[in-house]
Amino acid sequence: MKYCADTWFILEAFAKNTAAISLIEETRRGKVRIIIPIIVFAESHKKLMQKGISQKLIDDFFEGVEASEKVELILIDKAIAGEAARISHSYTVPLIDSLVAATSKLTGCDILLSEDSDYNLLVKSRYIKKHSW
Amino acid sequence: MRFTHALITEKVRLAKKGQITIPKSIRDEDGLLEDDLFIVTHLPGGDLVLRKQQEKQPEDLMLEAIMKAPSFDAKEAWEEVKSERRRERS
Repeated sequence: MKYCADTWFILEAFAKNTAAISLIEETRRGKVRIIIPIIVFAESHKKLMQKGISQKLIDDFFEGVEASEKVELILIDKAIAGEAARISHSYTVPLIDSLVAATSKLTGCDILLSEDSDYNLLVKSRYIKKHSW
Repeated sequence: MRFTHALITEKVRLAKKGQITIPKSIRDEDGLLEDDLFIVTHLPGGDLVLRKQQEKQPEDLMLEAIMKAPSFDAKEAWEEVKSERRRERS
């Protein structure tokens, strides 16, 4: 199973939510892959700093991500940017949500891990599947 | 428990500064190399157990960072993120 992580998932993981931790543990066993869009890296990084998480712990976490073969940071390329623009325009979705959804779609993820109701129209149109707890 | 090779027992002598040499046959069998790290455990009966330290996987680094982080309200943090995203749309 291949998941795309929205900022919600990173925040849940750092808040030690058991479902989020289990999913990261599953990647270690090779059963699961997690994609992290670069915009999620920026947004969650900023929010974690605002919540008092030290720069070192944030760096340690994302160094683990960069070294992992099962968890991957995805940069915004021309295809993702163009797709995000189309989604944002067609479904009136904020651009950050559009970049996350486009990354999820174009990297072939099965599920987007997010609790954001702004994706609901994309889910209804079967553009993405979403999961939260 | 599954054994990959027969039990090997060899005698070694404690050298200066408390050093011992792991016999070559065991080093070869287990692929032990210079700079490998080991954990020495002193059992109550006096036996010593030498266990090779497994290398950490990247996912372990991620989990360690998470476990060391102070607690915060993830729901509140996520609501703040969502409102910041929606501000951009309006």
